[in-house]
Amino acid sequence: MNRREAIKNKVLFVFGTSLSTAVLSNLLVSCKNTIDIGWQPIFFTAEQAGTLVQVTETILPKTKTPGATDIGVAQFIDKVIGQLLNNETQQDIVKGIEEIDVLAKTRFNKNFNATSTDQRQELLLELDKSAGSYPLTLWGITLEKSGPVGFFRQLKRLTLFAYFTSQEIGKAVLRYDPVPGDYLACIPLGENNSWTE
Amino acid sequence: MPNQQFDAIVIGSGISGGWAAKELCEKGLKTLVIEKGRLVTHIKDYPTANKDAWELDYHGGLTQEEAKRFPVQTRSGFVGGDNKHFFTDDLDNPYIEEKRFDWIRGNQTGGRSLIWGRHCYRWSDLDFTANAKEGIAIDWPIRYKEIEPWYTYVEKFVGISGEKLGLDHLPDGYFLPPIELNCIENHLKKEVESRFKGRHVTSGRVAHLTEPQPWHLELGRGKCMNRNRCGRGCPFGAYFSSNSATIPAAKKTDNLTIKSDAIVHSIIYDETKNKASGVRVIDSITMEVTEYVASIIFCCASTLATAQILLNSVSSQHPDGLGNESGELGHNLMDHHYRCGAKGDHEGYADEYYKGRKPTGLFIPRFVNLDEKTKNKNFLRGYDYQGTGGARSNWSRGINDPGIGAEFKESLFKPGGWGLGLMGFGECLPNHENYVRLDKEKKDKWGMPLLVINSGFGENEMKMREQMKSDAAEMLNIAGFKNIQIFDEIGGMGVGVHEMGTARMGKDPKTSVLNAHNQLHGIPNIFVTDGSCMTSSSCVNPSITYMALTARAVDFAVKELNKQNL
Repeated sequence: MNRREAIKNKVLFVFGTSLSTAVLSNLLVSCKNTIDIGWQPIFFTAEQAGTLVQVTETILPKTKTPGATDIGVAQFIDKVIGQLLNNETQQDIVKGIEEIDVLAKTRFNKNFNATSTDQRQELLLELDKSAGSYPLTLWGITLEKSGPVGFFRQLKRLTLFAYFTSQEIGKAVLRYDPVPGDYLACIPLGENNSWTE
Repeated sequence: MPNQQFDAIVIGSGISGGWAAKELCEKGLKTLVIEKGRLVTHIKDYPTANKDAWELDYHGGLTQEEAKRFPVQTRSGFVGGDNKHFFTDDLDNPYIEEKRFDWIRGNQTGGRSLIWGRHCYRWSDLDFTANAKEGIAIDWPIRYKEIEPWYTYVEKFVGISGEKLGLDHLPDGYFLPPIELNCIENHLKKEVESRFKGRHVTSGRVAHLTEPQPWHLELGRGKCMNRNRCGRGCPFGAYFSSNSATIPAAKKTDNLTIKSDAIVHSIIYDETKNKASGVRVIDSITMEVTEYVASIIFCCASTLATAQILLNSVSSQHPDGLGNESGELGHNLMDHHYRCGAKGDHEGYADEYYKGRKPTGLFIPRFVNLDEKTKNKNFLRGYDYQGTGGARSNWSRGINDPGIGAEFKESLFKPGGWGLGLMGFGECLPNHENYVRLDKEKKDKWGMPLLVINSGFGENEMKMREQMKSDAAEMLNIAGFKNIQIFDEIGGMGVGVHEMGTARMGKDPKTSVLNAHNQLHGIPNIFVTDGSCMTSSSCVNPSITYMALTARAVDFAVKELNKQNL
């Protein structure tokens, strides 16, 4: 079932009646999520997934290199969040994504997905500034006491993790060198990108 | 109940057990190695060794469901989706923490030699004489000169990369070429060595083949490829593990039998001969109990498991466990205290980078309490540092760094600034009050009495930490690092994964469990050569010392056996 079919069915089920195509398009316009993300979320609702796609793409937009959507970052997050994060953090992120839409409506009088690129950036940068930081870790060991971080920090972590550990970035954008052989301790960096780790 | 006869039995296949097996087999003894965990065959059973992040489930993340099996192991920070199969399931293997104790375990062929940090440093007489000089605990029954040839012997076989420094308190050994320091590490080296007389910055001395010798190649081991995926098992056999080195060497003799999934319940005591006659083993899958018979027994199950087995080996003559006439069995548990130091960023060397992911960083040998001039009145003994994260930051800096959008994304493809942490590792004093015992009622699902651990760090360690972190910050500061952050999160004892001391060596049977040859004082055909034999803890990583003591003890044991003294 494609994405549009799914939305249509849901609408029809909710209203419990057969609607004409014209009415249906009006409903879709007023619905939170009007974009076709092209995949069926398993953790998020369709609306949340639609917002998530736009949030991840705003964090890591397409340029001459792939954007978050090209890599399927939101879909990856949807797939792993239920397994990798505890329930509390999962709920923080769900609530946070809902909150982004509320913020967009309050400030710009539209859904997040309908805002301009500048508006999206403005909003997410504010969330980024107030989200706190993860504590210092070395060798995987947490070496600092710290309070919980805001949902945006958690979401940004998932976004960067999904993107930078992907095959597309690891093999084609960063420098892929799975078996380095000799270690060269000091070499010029030049214009090169980082090695894939 | 079938009986099975061998010349020698080795309990455990980790660093010490692997060495005992190799030496016993090479001396012609039919040897049985009994391993509690599953069979892990070199290369074949390293399922993630060649996988990139995107080829791993969840890109290598550990799931919440998986983490539930590892409530203790995850305290270490070392367990990931890529290496979880080499850590022990805590739910199936419970113990009781009267005080928090982080028991990090790897029950499998090779034990923790698959997941160790691979640093190898000789001890010196500064370590072997410290207890006697200070009147702490008891004196070691050996000195450096007695173990020195055995260090050389094991180092040649293991393959240790390192730099010779000519220091009395950190003796040089048989080294392969060191792994080079990178720009930032070299920077720190120049600054520290020019500003602080007597301080040295060198590369970690690690069990990696930087220039394999014929005897390494013969075993199928190869040169380190600088992948830094060591904790998944090395398909090149470039770092030393029982799996890559001692077990294959033992196998070549045709004298080796390995029994996996086998829990040693106890050592069987024969009162008519005042000797051990064998071991009682529970098959962890079938629950079948088997008794294996041998002339000598090497107990190398690891510090805590060895204590558990000996304490559980009770008879009318030994109601408190085998070799416990002194009352010291299970006592004097030590570990190194770490997670203390400082880290900083450096703005220089912006055009410098490196190629390869080397498997170690820098090392700063102990420089305090070496003599009168370096005396610190606040504490006894000393500490060293391992460099952590001495590299340019990668994309993950973007998680905490402010920013989103196109420029932000493009910037994360480039290496970030240089950072470097100094992680102090401090010596822990032996203390009789730090002990383990068996619970009188609670048992695990195989019927082994649960180990109760009551152990913690003391005042000397806490005072030492103050100096550890301020020295680290001072060195970084003098070397021009910025954003210096001091850290001190000790965790539980045990998380250093250098637990030692539950069956200490000593001269006097009244105050120690083992003699100078790692032989149980009362029972001559039982040898203990894992971390439990240690009488003090030094501040350097202990594994190479276990290896040297094991090879030395096997040499002694086989000579005694041939003289019919055992």
